[in-house]
Amino acid sequence: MKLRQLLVSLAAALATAGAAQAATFDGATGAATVTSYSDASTLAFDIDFTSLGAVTLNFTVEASDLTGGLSFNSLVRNLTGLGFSGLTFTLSGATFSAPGTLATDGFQAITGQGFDGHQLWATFAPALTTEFHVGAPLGSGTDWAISLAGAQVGDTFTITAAVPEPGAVAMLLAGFGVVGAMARRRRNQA
Amino acid sequence: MNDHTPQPVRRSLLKGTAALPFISALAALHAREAMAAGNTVRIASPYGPIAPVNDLTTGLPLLKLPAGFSYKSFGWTGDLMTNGLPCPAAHDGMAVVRSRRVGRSTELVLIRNHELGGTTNSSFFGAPAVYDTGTSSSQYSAGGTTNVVFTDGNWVSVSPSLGGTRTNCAGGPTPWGSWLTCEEVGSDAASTQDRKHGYVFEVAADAAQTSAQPIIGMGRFAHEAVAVDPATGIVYQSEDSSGKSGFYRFIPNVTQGSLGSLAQGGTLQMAKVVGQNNVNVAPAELDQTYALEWVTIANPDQNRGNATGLNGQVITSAAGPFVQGWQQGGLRMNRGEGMWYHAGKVYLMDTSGGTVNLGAIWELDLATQVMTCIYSTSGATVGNMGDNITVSPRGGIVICEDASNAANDEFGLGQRLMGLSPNGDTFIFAKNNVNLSAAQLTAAGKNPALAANHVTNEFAGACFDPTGRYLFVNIQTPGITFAITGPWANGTL
Repeated sequence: MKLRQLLVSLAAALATAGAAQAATFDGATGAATVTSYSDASTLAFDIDFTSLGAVTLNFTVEASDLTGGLSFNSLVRNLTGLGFSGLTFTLSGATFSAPGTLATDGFQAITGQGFDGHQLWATFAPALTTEFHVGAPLGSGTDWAISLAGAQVGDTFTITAAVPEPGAVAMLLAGFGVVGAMARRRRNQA
Repeated sequence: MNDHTPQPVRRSLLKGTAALPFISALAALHAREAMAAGNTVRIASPYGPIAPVNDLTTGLPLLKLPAGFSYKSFGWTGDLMTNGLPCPAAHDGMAVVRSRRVGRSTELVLIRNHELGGTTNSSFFGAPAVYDTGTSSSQYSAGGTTNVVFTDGNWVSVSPSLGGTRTNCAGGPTPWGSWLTCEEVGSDAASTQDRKHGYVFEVAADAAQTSAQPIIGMGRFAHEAVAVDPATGIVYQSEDSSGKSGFYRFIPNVTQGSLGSLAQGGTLQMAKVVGQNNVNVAPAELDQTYALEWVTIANPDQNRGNATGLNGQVITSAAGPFVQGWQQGGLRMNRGEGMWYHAGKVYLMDTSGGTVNLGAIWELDLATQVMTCIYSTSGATVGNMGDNITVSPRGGIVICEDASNAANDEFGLGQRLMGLSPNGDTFIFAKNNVNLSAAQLTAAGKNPALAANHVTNEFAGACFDPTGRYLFVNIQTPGITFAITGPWANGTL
């Protein structure tokens, strides 16, 4: 498994080597094949899950990232043969500063979605077995905005795409429900 | 004359034992084996029971499927194609012939047969390649193929590719990205343009590259399906001619295949059982095996005739290739139908074979040239005259049923898509639920003339995309193509 992960990382790194792009992509580790389509201002990745689990994309901050900002999109293909009840994208060392669109190819509906600074999430019915679009990987929709506020050149950050276990999806929904309730409470108190 | 020689091997017992570690499951296996007695049995679907599911394209409940599965219909009979003409009817054999990335998009091209005979319409639905512009009994040849594009999980377009052919039943994909379409014609009649029918034609993923040149070397008979061995380029072929169906192969002169290479010639051969003459393999029992050798057919374009086998049995009014093979001791089956290649094996359905004449599947190991019966139904609810078959990228077999009398099981009356488990058991995966009124069709933007109860009409053309996410399949009448997806890994398909 470790060897395969290494190969995935190497393949992804080689695919982007030398290309003018946003934050330097340092490779990926996890249960997916990752292909970068990034350019100078957009982090763009196809993520092909071949088993349930998570994949982490690793980046190093470039000087231009601190001035121009970054946008993000991803095309997630489910090649596992199993249904995904939900999907999450979690940032570490960066934050989502503005939401974009979330979509499927229409075979399954998005039944719940949301985001906070560090995570976006979606749930599906029936469980997702085909494709999930974060932002506009195929040109339709709006990319997500990523902020690197407070970061310095040379810092690292990660984006982790994960398929939560069904039980974890319920907890995720409950957790976001609590966050939402607290936010509403704060708004009401203000 | 029943001249088969059963050689039973209870393969499924061993395979089943390995897969079932629990005593209760083993007990169930024993019970199943006791019931089997040379036949396939039906088990509960690993995907669960089926129920009507609405089509994501039209909102109509066209299929019964397990929970968690969804589908989109497309390319109905009468829908306008890219050339502005209505899509032809009678959707039959089909395969994904090209899968490619266009930027980040995934584009699939499917080629689909239309099993049509004669028509007074001389448009050939605008196909760029037309074989026969003549008439027979004042009828033009109405069959042919259309190319269907499916991109990023969405149907995109239907375009005509081949016209002027007859009764394009099934066929098969080639490893080099084309489709071999088979005319199921058992006649020597020639049209007013002196064109005979009963040939195989190659159709390109880019419709404009289709030549409409018959591959005469592959034989002229009631072709049904083909399966290409990618290692050798050899094309295995089935014949659908009741009681006088041969099993053929075509060894091409050009083994590194490419578009048009089969038309450069080759050698047609017919299967024979090693050490036995003129074996009738139709009454196949589960796990029965035959070792095969091949006899050469000198004239693949020979007219029909009578043949006396080496065993003295006379077969009358058989196709020319069958006549030549039978005279050399070749085998016969009842009605060869669907074929598929997967992982060094070719699968072949004899739709009227088996112990109750409702279907048997042969698995030919290409390395050993031994064919084994992996499916022989014991009754209509277990398996009911399977026709086209396919194998998923995970190795599961899907059977399209085309029975004279559709199965009436716990899910009601209707033709079915059956799954075949690795242990040789069948299960119901899907059922035809097309029963539509003119009002429903009009509301969905379809031709109201298609209104009828179509649940007893056949499934055909099942095939998966290379990733195994989408199962594509047709219901021949009223003529609808489906893309189905769901949690395939929950079962064996």
